[in-house]
Amino acid sequence: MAGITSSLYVQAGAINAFEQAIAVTSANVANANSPGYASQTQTLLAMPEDIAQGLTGGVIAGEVVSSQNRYAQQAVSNQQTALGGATQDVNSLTSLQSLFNVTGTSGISTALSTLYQSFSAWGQTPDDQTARQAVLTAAGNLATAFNQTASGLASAATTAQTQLQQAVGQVNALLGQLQQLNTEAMADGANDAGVDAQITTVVQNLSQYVPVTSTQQPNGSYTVLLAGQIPLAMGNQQFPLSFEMYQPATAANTDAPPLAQVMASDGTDITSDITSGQLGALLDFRNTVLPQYVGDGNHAGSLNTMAQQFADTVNGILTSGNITDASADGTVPAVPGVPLFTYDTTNNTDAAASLSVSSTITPSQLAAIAPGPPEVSNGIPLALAQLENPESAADEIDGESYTAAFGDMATQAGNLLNQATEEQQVAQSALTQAQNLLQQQSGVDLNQQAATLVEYQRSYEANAEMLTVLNQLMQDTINILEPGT
Amino acid sequence: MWVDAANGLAAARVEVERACRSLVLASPQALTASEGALGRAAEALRQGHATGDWKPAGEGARIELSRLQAAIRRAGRLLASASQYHAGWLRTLSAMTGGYSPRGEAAPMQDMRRMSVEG
Repeated sequence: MAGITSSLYVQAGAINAFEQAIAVTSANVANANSPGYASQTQTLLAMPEDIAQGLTGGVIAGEVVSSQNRYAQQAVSNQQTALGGATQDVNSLTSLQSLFNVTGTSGISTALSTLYQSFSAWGQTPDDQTARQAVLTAAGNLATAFNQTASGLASAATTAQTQLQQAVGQVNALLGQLQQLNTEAMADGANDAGVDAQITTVVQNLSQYVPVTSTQQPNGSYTVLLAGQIPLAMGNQQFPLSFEMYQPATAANTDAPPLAQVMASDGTDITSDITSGQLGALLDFRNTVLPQYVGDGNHAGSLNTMAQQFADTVNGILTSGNITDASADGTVPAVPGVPLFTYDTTNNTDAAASLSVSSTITPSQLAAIAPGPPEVSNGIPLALAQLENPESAADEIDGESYTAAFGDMATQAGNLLNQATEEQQVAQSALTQAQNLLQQQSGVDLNQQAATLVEYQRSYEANAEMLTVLNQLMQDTINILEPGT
Repeated sequence: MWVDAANGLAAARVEVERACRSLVLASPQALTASEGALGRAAEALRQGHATGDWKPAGEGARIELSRLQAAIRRAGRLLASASQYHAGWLRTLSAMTGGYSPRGEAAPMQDMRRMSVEG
């Protein structure tokens, strides 16, 4: 009798176990097209058989093992983060580069060149009112070019600020989804593969914005950390981010453009922890790249420094000259020159935006006479024209001409964009590579993987050696084709 | 006789780009293919040097040089990311199969290859 009963128990257990296996298989079929879904395998555990001890043997359903490799998923997440950052960099830097055109017919470079030409023409006919008017017009155009570039940079800053706000909003929206899915996963007792797949998709989306690591807990929920340490989601809780613009306490100029900062849910500043992803790229653009040009609380920025120094230099040369000589008998004094440019002197980060030609200056007020001795009737316009190819440090900015300095700004913007574009291509390829590796690893048993890993290792070594040879040949090629570089 | 190096550099670049595509696939077969493509790229450069008739760079060669450099950088990055991936996975697998050493490092990978004898 005991034999029949135990046999029935065994069969009931087996039926139960195989029913669960069929349920898992059904889930695999149902979710075959779900993004992020990983097929599940139902393990069957053999039970000990000892009739005397009442152990009837047979099989029961064991833990459902996800074939999805968490390690590979994390690698995909990391590449999503890299691509999110690189794509944002390309977008931001494309708008920046367009402001530093050195080849077109407009912009600071062209306006500088035209102003130098007008100085030169004035030097040839120092009393000619048309030549003097041309100087005022060219100076006005240069001021406008500085204003427009400053305005473009301010607009880029505003755009970045809006995008930061939106990105933080997107992160928080995804954290809301994650909280809901985690709650469902916990209610389903860690066995709902469909919810698991949805969580994976949300985490991948989150990775585009910020660097995250995710770990599945025994209760089925996912703990998601930013930069490996700042909690974003835990169990049925979410920890949303917040964003604000601020002026650092150390800022010497409180009227300077503010910086962006992102805070964790407890109010801690976590800006320095977000170094990658779309949010990381936006923070870098807003807090590091743009201030190089427009300044911040502690420096004026290269564009403002250039506008201010150029205006001061031109004004200094003009005010060192005379509009008219003193009378021969000395009863009528010489009339000194007046400044050409004005700008906001109260805020060094506003110089480029506020640069303008003095509203009171007239062509006849341009001082042409260098008092000397010896006095030179066109000495001032010649000195101004000399700024194009400076011979003294006083006429230079950072050891070079103003034209070259602006060219450097343009080159820097162009190089940043080129690097970002290359980085974006690499990141796209690396993401596809990580997705391929995830695909290859999914469902492969450990024995097979161990053997394959040895094969991989040999291939990597061979490829690395070949790449070393190629790099050396490349260097030789550069030496042949571009000797001296 | 001087010749423009642009064609030779372009041939090398095509091979490096082929290697990049293989590295993206990152299967053992694809890695073998990428090794071959990198070898052919090296050979294309070596041949150019050997003939000794590449003239100092013209505009075309300069552009190709820059493209080839970018392609080699891309191949290096893809090789590094794939290699780091498997090195990391090897450490994880080692820890899964052998645990950790007293110093907290993942245990050496156990040989899990199996032998099948028939007959």
